[in-house]
Parts: sequence; C-alpha cells; structure tokens
Amino acid sequence: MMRLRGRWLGALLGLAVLAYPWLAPSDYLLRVGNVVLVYAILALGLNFTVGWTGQVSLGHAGFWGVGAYTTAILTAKLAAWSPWGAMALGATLAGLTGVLLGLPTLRIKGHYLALATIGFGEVVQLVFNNWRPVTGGADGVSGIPVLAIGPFAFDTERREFYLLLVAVALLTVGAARIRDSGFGRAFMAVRDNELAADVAGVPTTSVKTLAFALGAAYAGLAGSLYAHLLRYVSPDVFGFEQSLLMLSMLVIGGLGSLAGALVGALVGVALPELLRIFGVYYMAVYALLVILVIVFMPTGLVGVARRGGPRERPPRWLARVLPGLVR
Amino acid sequence: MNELVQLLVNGVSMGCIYGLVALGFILIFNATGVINFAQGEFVMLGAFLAVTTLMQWGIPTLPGLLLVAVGMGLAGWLFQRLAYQPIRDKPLLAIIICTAMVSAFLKSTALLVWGPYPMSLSSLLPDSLIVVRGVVLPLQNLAIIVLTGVLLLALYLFFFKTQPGLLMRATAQDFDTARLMGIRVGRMVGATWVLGALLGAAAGLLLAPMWNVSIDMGGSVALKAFAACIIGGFGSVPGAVVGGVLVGLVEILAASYLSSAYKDAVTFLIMIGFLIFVPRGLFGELVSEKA
Repeated sequence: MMRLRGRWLGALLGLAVLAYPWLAPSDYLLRVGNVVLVYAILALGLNFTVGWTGQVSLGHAGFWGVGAYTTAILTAKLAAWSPWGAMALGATLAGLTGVLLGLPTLRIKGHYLALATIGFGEVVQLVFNNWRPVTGGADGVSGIPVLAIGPFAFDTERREFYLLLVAVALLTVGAARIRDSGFGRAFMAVRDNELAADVAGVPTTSVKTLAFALGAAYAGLAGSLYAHLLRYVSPDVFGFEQSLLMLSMLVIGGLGSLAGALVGALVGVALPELLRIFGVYYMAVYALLVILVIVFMPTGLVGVARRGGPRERPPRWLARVLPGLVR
Repeated sequence: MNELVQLLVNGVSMGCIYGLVALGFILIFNATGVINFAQGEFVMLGAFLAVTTLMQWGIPTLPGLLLVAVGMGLAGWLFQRLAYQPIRDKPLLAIIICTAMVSAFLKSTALLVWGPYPMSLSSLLPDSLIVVRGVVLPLQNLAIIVLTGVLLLALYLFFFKTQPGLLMRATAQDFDTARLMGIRVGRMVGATWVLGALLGAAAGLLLAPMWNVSIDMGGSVALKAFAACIIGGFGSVPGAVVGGVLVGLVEILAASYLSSAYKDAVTFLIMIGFLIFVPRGLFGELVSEKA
C-alpha cells in the first residue's frame, strides 16, 4: 500500500515538473526553474565529492566557472567551436582541474582540505577577474549563442527547461549507476573509514581524486549549460558564496542522497527567491533557516521525509530559551 | 632602498592586522576544534560598533571603545551559545556550514543596521606622516604595529601570568582532564569565544582608518588570516602572528614587484603550497585534526 502510494506520488511529482513550463505564470519564474536545474547538476556533482566520499570542498564554484568560461570563450569570443564540442571540452577541462587540485591536496583532511579548496576557488576567480585578454576581466564575456540541435534552437526559457531537465535526469541516473558500482562502494568506504578502506585494498588516493574529478566534471557541464542559459558570464558569480550555497544545498536536502541533492537545489534556489519579500535582508533569514535545518534535521529534508518527522528533539537549551515555541 | 623600507613597514602593519584575526581563529580552534568562518564578521562588527559609538553617538574615544569591547564580548558569547553549543557534536561539515551561515547572517544583519554605504572611521589613529632618514612613514602604520605589540604582550601576560589564563590554556590543551580537575570548562570555552571576538574587533578598529568600514571588509581579511594560520602552523599561537606578518609582507611585495592584480593569488598559492609540502607550517606543533 505504502509502495503504491509512493509510486503515485512519484508520478504526480514527475508530471508536475514536466508541466511546470506551462504552469509558471511568468518567464521570470521559468528562469528560476532553469537555474534550479543548473544547481541540481552542481549539487549532484558536489555529492560525489562531499556526500559519498566525505571530502569537504568549498571550491566547487571554481569548477563551475571553468566550464562556463570555456564555453563562453570558445563559442562567443573565438566563435570557432560548436557549442556541444565546447561543452564537452568544458566538462573535461573542469574534470582535469579537479584532478589537478585533487592529486596534491587530497593528502590533507578536514579543515585543511576545506581551506585549500577555498584558496583554489579564490585563485580561479582572480584569474577570471584579471586575465583580461582572455576572460574579459570584470566585464565578463557576452554574446554566447544558444544551444541548437540542427535547426532546432533552445532559444526560449521553455525549451531550455526541457533541455536542462533531460540533462538532470541523465546525470542523476548516471550518478545512481556510479553509486551502485564498485566505484560508488569505494567512495563510501573511503568516507566511512579511510584506514579500513586502505587496508582492504581500496586505492584511497585515486578514489578520492576520481570523486573530485567527477564532481568537477559535473560542475563544468553545469557551467557550460549555465553560460548558454544566461548567454553571458561574469566573474563575480563564481565565488565563495556560491560554493557555500552548493554545500548548504546538500546539507538541506540530505548529504549523500541523490534525491537530497535535487531537493536541496530546489530549496537553495527557490527559498531565497521566496525570501525576497524580506528585501536585501533575505540572506539573514536564509542563513537562519539553514542553521535550524542543521541543528534539528541532521539528515536533511529527505531524511526527515523518509522517517516521517524530525529525528532529533529540540535541544534543552532551546526549550529553556524559547519555552513557548518548543512545547 | 627607501621605497623598500616603506613597503616593509606597510606590509608588517597590514600583517599585524591579519595576525590578530588569525590569533582569534587559533584560540577558538585550540579550545573547540572549530574553525570559525565568521571570524571576519567579528572584524566588521567591531568596526561598525566603533562607527556607531564614536561617530554617530559622539562618545569620547575611551568610553566609546569600552562600549565596543562590551558589545563584542557579548557578541562572542552569544555566538558560542547559539551557534556553537547546539552543533558541537555534529560532523565537521555541519559545523563548517553553520559558522559560514552565521557569517552570512551577520553580514545581512549589518546591512540592515548600518546600510549598504561604506562608512569612514578616521579619528581613531593619527593620520600624518613622519620622515625618518629620508624614509616617509605613515604614523598610522607605525601605530598599528605598536598597538599590536602591546596587545600581544597583554595577551601573553594574561595567558601565562594569571589564573584565568592558566585555566583557559588547560581547557584548550585537554578538555576532559581539565573538567576532571574541576575547571568550569564551559565557561572557559565561552571566554575563549569572547576573546576571539575581541581580537577580531581590535583588528577591525585598526583596519577601519585605512579601509572603509563596510559589510564586506571582514571576508577578505578572514581569508588572509586563514592563509596566515596555515603558513604559521595551524594551532600555533606564535605561528598565527608570524604567519600574519608574512602574509602582509608577501602581499605588498607581490603587489609592487609582480602584479597588483594577482597579489591575492600569490598569497593563496603559497598557502596551498604550504598545505601540500609543509602541512605543519613554520611553527610545526604536532597537531592532529581534532574534529
């Protein structure tokens, strides 16, 4: 009975997503939906690195930027490449950057890794900002063409939506396949107990590097799609705040869960939009909500949905501070 | 030659500010195993509070600064009560995100209170130049170096010559044993956060006359302070200060002799280099990752 109801719910949800471009009352909301899908790819990628392999990364936006700028430079500035070729190259370049960052830095752990990835992200953004002849500096690159298959161009928000939806679906299935393969088990072995994994014959350094590279390649792809969506890239988008936002998405949705990454992307993009009624102060509200999720729902929204309620009781100190609110 | 001396003095004075922020990081890290990503916002809050008390309310300097200190102490204590105590047993990732979100929260709140326009706080440090043997030095920078030295000396005396300092050191060294010895460890950890907030605010006060006071001033300083901690050796108190000064020097030398656009990149690349090749840093105390 539960199963059946779950299936119906899934089908309904799927239908709702498919119908969204026809239900969305404005192009603006449709654009928000498209941005959600781009972030879904980013979160799926980061989930390889952080969710499954347990390596903290605060430089994910850097890989995103590598993909976006590769597409922007090759298709708009040089206008010499087909967008699809540039996209493939962007994802590959981002993946290689992931290997480059991963190989040396994955010997370090925890806080140290977090700081190294922050440093990486800052350096990437500095390059975007200052390598004027190639990246256009603070002005960025504009005039990126739309994607097209033959004569069919993805030139409306609605068409973009379905394109991105297909991409998200394929990448989710791909991630699930990897999760259920030997690679996925190796990722999680490293996360759960690196020493034990090492002893059991898992090549931990290669596995961690692979997790970084996969996450980075997903981010590169997302960057390329994002560049075609906005048709303009500028360096300020690919900064630390975005890396942090992506990480907070995983935590909100539920770390290490594909559904969690997707839900997290939806909440992480849509919630700030909803909170715009608070004007420029929406960030304070958003930050507060994220902290509350961390404190009260350590397994994220998806974890709560599975268990049917928050797992943890509110801590005593909160009951003391806000007795009326908790009881 | 003269130019080099000027650069060095400027670098060291900027480095002193980084060192103070780094010191706040390290004290909190040693006591709790948490890297406080909101440390930069203590810098910003300190500077903004000073703008309010000294400029907007027109309170004389000393009582005004006292008020800032009280406010910042309160901020540090509230921070640990509301954002650290509830999550201290959570995984590292949750703690990192939580302190980073507090940083976002504080920035947004500062925007609400003080508005988006940068403010200036010029009256705090002397704003004139002195000439020593043909070298022109801003008095401000010399004052920063001297004041940092005084602060460090006071901290040293506090930690090594007073009872509360001893108790705080004991708590940072071994939380459980300190508790067994009857030390009120919760209070000591709280006091460490207060001290961390005060150090951040001190950096903010020294920085305010040079930069404008804005909601973004904390972020870039905090990143440099991270680098300082890594270079000096994470967990090492002298390392934080020396690392800070080194970052200040690298920054200004890279800006003048390499490229001003990439000065930050040079700093971060050096930081990453240290992480990879000398992960213990210059003052390599044997620290293991606590969390």
